[in-house]
Amino acid sequence: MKQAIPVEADHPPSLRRRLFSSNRRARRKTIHLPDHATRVLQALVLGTICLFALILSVGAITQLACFLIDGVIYRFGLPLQLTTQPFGAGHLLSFQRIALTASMPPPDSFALTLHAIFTGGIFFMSWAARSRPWRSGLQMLCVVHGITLLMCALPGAQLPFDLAQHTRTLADLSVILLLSTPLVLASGYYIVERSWLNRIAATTLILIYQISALPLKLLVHALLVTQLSSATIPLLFFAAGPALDVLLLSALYGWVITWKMPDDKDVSAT
Amino acid sequence: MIDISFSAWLFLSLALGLLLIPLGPAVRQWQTPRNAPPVQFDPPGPQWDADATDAMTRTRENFANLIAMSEKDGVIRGAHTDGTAFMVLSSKEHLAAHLPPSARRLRMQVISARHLDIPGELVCDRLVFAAARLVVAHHAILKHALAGREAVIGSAARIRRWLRAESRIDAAEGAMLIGCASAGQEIVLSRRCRFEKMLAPVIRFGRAESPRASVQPERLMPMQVPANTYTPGDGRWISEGDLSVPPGHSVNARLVVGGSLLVGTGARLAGDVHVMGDLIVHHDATLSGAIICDGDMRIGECCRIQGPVRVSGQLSSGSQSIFGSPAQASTVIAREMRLQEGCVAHGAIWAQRRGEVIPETGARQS
Repeated sequence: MKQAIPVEADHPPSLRRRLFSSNRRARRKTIHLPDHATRVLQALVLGTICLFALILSVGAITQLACFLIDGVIYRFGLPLQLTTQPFGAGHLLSFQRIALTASMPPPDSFALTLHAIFTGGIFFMSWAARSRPWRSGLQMLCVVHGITLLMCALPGAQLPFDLAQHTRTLADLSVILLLSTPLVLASGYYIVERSWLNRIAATTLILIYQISALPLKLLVHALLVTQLSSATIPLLFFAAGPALDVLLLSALYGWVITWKMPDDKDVSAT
Repeated sequence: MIDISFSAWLFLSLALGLLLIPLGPAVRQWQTPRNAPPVQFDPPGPQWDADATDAMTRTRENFANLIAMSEKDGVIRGAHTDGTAFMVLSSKEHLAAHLPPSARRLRMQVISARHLDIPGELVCDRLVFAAARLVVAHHAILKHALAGREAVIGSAARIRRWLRAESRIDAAEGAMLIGCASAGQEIVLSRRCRFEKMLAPVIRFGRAESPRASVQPERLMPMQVPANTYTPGDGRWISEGDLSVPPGHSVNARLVVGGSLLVGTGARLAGDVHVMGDLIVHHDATLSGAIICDGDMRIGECCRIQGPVRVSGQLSSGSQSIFGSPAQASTVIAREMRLQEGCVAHGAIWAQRRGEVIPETGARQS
């Protein structure tokens, strides 16, 4: 801050006037933002820009996914049909809700028995798992699948969901995850990471992964359901649905935050 | 089940692989043996025996006048403002003379102007202070004890919280120093003594029946990097499985061992060591760096361990092994410790669950 110059009594009027205006400028405080505040602002701006860009392009993204799914179904002769349902037509956020269907019979008793034996085997073998999280997770999935098998085995019973609902839900959740990615990155990564190149590269990588994974994920789920049976829908949803998406994104995020610029100091202790 | 073509199966496998690509870096990190963390211990110092040191200072200050008065009056009895009773004995008085014959429990503080003898089988619930020498007879149980000079703990006597002696602590066979015991010069434990935390420039665990000097080979061969070990180029050797240092060899690197580490007779390790399995050190070996062992650590006779040492499991040592040095005190922490007679430590020892001095066996420990 510029130092104020004292005005003396014997200064001529012209000098006094100049000193008064100069001192008034000096008295105005200059605001310097601390480094962390600057980064928070940058994070907010970048996050907002990314979010708006995604909102405007999510329609195109789902169209691209539909195009890819159609292409794969045709190329490999998969027994699947693609259906779409518009969402938010005419609004800022509008996209296609994607679903995959297949004409397949309900699971027969042989398939259910096979599933039950397999599930029971996994449940008992899981007691040998040394790690409690793995053991509990496996057993929980076995219980979920067991309940579904029971429901299918009841005479006259029908599962309250089908492949189309399953894939539509997965697609919707993937879109929500895609749109929340800028917010997640802005609340952490953009603040911590100083390099603009790293920020942009990491964001691009994560978004490209999510966009390219969407059609693949739906196709994989649909094919697995057609091969295993519709009774595996709840199991696939719990084991390989949103939880797996979050895990994969966390793994990707965990990798991008380890990126360093060449001039970054190595602060590891060993 | 709907039949699909082979190419569809191929696509399914490929799609699964592509979807799981982000797990690659995480899996690689998971499989890489963890680095040896920077070894930082609380240096042996006032932190561990802060209570005892504070109590020593406060007792001296609070009772200075009363101690001086007791030389004239003999015994002074009183109580603190919180109601805790105390008794101040002059240098000529004995505690036993002022206790009822059937007294088995003493619920007052005892301050002695000079020597203090605690009778056998007496349980003292409050602070016991001797300006000079404190002698605790057999089977007595003390909670807090301070000695201005030395403390002698009798057979099977027990200190439950802390014990502080300005010069020396001598514990007879079967004594138990639970809590923290600290001395200004030396702590000597006899066989079958039990201990937890100890802090002194020299801590002797019994005396070896047949002492011998450590045998060091005249020349040590530098060990070559083994096949199952990779070197990232920063002075570390990272081994995913077990590692064995042959007898008479030296290693100048920092070792990170995913399995167990065996250090041969007379070998020398100059760097830090992080072992995720068990660490077995044969006799006459020297380990100069910090040691972190996630399993059990077994040390042979006449080894030199500079430390600091942190063992998650049990630490057992053969006779005449030395931890730390007079010039550089060390810290040794283990869940359980079994040290044979003849071992010496310089600095701080902490057996988190149980520490014991084992009688020396006749055969050489391997």
